[in-house]
Order: sequence, then C-alpha cells, then structure tokens
Amino acid sequence: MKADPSMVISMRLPVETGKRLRRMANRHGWTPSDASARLIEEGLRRTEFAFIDFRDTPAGRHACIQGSSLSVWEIMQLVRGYKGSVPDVAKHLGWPQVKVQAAVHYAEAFPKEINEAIAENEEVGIEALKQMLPQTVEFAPKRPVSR
Amino acid sequence: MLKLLLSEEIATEAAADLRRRCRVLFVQAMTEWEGGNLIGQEPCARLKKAASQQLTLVTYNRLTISILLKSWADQERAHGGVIFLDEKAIPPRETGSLALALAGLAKEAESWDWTDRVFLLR
Repeated sequence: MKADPSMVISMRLPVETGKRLRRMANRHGWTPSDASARLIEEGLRRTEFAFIDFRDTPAGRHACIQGSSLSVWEIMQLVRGYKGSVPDVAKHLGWPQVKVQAAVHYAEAFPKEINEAIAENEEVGIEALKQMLPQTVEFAPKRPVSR
Repeated sequence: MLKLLLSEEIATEAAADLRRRCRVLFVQAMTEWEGGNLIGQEPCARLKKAASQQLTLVTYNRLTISILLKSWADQERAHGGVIFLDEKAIPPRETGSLALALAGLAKEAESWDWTDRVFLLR
C-alpha cells in the first residue's frame, strides 16, 4: 500500500491521538510512522472511492465494501467467475449493482493488491490446509455420470 | 449434528436449493443469520458466534479463515467446523452444483460431531 517514492510531512497530533496511534501500530507490528501513512492512505481511498472501507483480517488489512463482510478481492473473484458481468454478481449477492461496480473501480485502481489476494486464496489448497490444520479432509461427492 | 452457515459470497439461492434437497438439514445464509447483525463484522467475531451456536461455516475464503482457524487451534479454541470450497471445482455461480455437493456431504456427515472439523469440498 505504501507509495514510492515517499516524502516527509511532519504532523502535530493531540497527545491522546498519538497514544492511540502507537497502540494501533504496536498491535499490527508497524512503526507509528508506517501506521500514520497507512491510515492516511486508507482515508484518502475512502474519500476517493464510493462504498470502500478497510478492515483488519487475519491475512492483514483488506479493502472491503461498506455494510458487507466481503473484501474487494472476494467480490472480484465473483466478477471473474461471472466473466466480468456486474449485473450477474449483483444478482448473486442480492446487492445493488452500484456496490459491485464500486468494488470493480477499486480493483481497477489497485490491481496488484486485489490480484495478489485472489492468488493467495487460490494457493490455499489441500496441502496448505493440511499443513495449517492437520485435521483437514478433502471431500469430493459422487456426481452423476453425464452421458 | 451438521448445521450449515453459508458465507456471504454464496448466493442465497444455494441455501434455498439445499433446503429443498435436504429438508431436515439446518441451513442458514449469512445475510439471514442473527437478523444480519454479523454482516460487516470481523471474521473472528463471526466465527466466534457461529461456534457458540455449533454452526459449521461454508466459505470460499480459504485465505483469511484458514489463518484464523490456525490461530484458534494454537489457542486451543474450538469451533463448529468449517467447509472450505474450491472455486475452480465448484464455481460460485453454479449454485445447483454447490447445493448438490453440500447435500452429498450432509448425507454422509449429518450426524457427526462437527466440532473442529475442516473439510475442503471439491
């Protein structure tokens, strides 16, 4: 998320805000400077893109759609599955099209971030699951034989 | 006893289809669950609530949920089971195939204790 090249801007913060910033940075293992840069970038993206929010997940902070549990990458995985059809994905989710379109616009602006998350999800196959969660069982139900 | 909670990326049609196929199976879509109050909350909060109700989560999100489950396992926290879906084997748009696959699993596993079970459905 951090843009390159960078520039230095000094800020004056209320003491309590600074403490909260440090607490947040510690929780994520970031420096206060890194946390500030991330929060400002997220704030700018929230301003620039409709319906976009950011949420902590076990896989890091992800862009998501307001009023939803879904990250943008999950919506874009559906968009891919529907061959780019926003109306079809909106119908699938029972959402207004404008929310799906908002996810598409965000993904177009930050393709690396979204594509990486989709690729990481695809990489979590049976072997990776068994390594993390040894009790994992693969199940393929019997399907009708087509003639 | 298998009780399914279908994640938000799964079309509600799949829940309806599954209920038609397995009339005794408890199936809940995330959008209907708890009046929709868990929508928008962090994955940990949803998994915690699902665990308290012995619900087995069904999801295509292997990235986030697998990390969360590992963290819970490390802390010896129990959950109500998770069924991961593979989008290449069962595309989300094929709600009938998904309902059929879940019905197939339910047929074999409906009466099991699903605590801490993890399946990858293909």
